[in-house]
Amino acid sequence: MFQLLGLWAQALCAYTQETGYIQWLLFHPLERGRGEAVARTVAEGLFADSLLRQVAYTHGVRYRFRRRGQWFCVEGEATPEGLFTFFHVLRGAIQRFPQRLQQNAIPLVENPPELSRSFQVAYEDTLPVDLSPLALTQYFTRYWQAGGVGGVLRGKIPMPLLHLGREVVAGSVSEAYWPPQPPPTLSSPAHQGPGVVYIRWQLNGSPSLAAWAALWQQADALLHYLCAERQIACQAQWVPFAKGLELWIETGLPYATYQAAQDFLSRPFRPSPQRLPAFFTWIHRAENFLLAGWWACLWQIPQLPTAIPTLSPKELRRAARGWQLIAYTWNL
Amino acid sequence: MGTSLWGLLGLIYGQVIDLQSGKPRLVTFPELGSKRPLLWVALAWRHPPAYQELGRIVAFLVAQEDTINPSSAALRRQLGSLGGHLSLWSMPEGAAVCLTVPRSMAVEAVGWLYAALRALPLQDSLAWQRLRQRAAKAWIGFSLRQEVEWLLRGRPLLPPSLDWPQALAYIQRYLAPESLHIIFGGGLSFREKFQIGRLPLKISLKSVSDSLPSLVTPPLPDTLIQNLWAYPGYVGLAVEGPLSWKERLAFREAFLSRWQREAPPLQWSMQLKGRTHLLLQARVDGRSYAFLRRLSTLAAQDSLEARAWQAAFELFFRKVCAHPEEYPDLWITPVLMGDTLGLSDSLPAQVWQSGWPFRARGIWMGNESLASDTVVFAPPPARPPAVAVPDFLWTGPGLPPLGEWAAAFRLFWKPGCSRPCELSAYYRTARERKRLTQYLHQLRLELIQTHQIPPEALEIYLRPLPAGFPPKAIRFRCFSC
Repeated sequence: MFQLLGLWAQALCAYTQETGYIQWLLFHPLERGRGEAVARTVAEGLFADSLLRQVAYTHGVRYRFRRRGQWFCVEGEATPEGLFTFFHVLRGAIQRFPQRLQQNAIPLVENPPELSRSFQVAYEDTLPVDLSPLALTQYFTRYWQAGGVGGVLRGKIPMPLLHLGREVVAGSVSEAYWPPQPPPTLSSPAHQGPGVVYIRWQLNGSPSLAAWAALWQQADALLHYLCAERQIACQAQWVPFAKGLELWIETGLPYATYQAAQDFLSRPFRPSPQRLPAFFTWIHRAENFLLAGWWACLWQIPQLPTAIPTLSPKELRRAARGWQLIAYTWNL
Repeated sequence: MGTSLWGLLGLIYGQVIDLQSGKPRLVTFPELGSKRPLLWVALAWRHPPAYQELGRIVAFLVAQEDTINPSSAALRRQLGSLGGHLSLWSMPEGAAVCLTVPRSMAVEAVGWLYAALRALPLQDSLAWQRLRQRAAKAWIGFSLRQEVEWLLRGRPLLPPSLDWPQALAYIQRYLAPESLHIIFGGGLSFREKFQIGRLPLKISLKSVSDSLPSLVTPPLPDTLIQNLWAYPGYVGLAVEGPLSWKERLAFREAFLSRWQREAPPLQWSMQLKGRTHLLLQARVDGRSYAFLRRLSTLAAQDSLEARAWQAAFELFFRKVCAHPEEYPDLWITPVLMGDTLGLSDSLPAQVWQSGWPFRARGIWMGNESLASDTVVFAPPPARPPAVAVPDFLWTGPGLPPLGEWAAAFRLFWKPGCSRPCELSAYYRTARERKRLTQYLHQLRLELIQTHQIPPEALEIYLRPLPAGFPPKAIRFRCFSC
């Protein structure tokens, strides 16, 4: 039963569901949250392999590159058949990459898109980066060749695909976590204008479904408060890590948002079983499909609930005890 | 009464409509399955195209958006305990309030929608005033997207009149129980249908929806606007697509696939419009703009492109079935228009190769910067080749699609062709050669005997496996005559 419903491994997590297609994610951490340009150049160069692109085109495999907090991610969707062929060719592309690098066939990505700006500022990832062939090779070897990449599959996953996926994503993701450092200008309050409010919950005990449900409830309630009740911030990125969650709230009113968030978080929080159906809906909705799988993978939760979880108030309260909460804000 | 509307033309996804007097029409899609963790349900009603804005505000009213009102707040709390996620939909065809809930909450979700309908204010209330103010404020903000949408729909750029008598008339005309549709993105058990049928819905509204005017879209003028204030061009186009729903989705995927490959837009969105059109809005650079201007026929240039379009269509279809809540247009519009939505995940190969004409009219916002950005743009050939040269790469699983190959072959092959087509397999080690040769002979024999391919037109080849190439690949390839 366990095998049928969901599989979890250190590097590749697979959550089987009868959706007919698969959402997939390959990710690796950026050391100290820096080096996005190198990571992006390597990943985009790898996926620019002509055979890989051709297979992606003819088999309808979609993918995009994205930074989320300290992680660099390649995420996409495909049919099981298409993804099987794609992974097969990706394995070949990984072998061909050093040769293509020698032939200068890798385009450099020096200016990552604006989307990552809040992460770049927080991690001071704006320093000049070394995009020399040696640096790219080292980076590629460390993550893509020596198994530093993790993976998540969610959807209809046939066994052959799972085995192949484990060959492509063969190592183990580094446990290292690099929280963003408070910016040096933190002593002065953030002024009106584009900014970020950063909130981090760090678990005290080990992750569990109860801790997940409780933490989700507080994060969701906070965002509901900021968006629907206070109407000051409605955009946030959820970035899970091995023992907690980061919320990166993007707003034009960072100071007011920060104050409102502080107000909300200073109130006593009591997770409720009545919110479990909403948690269940959140896990399975299309827009969170991959995020929920990734979160569960990082927290080593072997399978996603297939029915509304039954957790008592006591279990939820116990799971919510002793969280470490950190919040700060800065301008972009 | 259950009316199954599928079975024709091999359709695999069709709707089932259940009618009960004095109750909303219950529409389910049993083939979407009943084991998925979530269920999407929409409470939808028709209205004339001119009432799209009013429909949107009434949908807000039904969804109990005004949480200051105590009864609305209570309903919202109740929704929270169901784990429901609300979304609203309003188009020229009608409007809807949609709920995504855990599968086990199907009956409760309909119960909540009925309760929300019963709580609908039938007199000028504070809730209405607040929503009206909100709509008026939204109108003040500048939105190019919305403005273009209004222009595309042939509507004047005037704020909708939002007085209460008009809203009440709208509610009384279009929200009577018999005029409503409850659409489920999935199937229901008999027990659930029975329980839903017993749910009370007592609201004093009389249906007059039979007098709805038909959806006739006036011909859209093609307008070129000199847009001097920003570089990326903006287009808002009504693209004419095929009549059948399935083909229209195929057309959409083929167009997006070609566009993304040759000249990707910066941003885009696409919606279904009426029975024949797709509404496209996009920010485009010069190359992408020129691509749209020049595209006149959308047909696969070779079998590789046809294969890619088929794969894109298949993926889209599976996404639609897995997450119906993401595609309300597709599920609600045909039901409101009284059409049968018959979908399947594949189309005959000939459809991709014969293609469709591409006709787009609407608003083209551009300037000279766009024109100068098209220097590198190589114009495509005036007409795609009438018949594509077959070139298929099959990598499994299952059996090679011999029927599809033979169909493409028959379209292509002429007796005068000098070079026979090739059927190739790839070996890793010498030991595999014997087995693969036998397998290729077997495939060739089947193509000749079952699919009537002339023996002189087909040869077999064994080739070493290139690096990174799938080991079980079989290639069927022809050459220009």
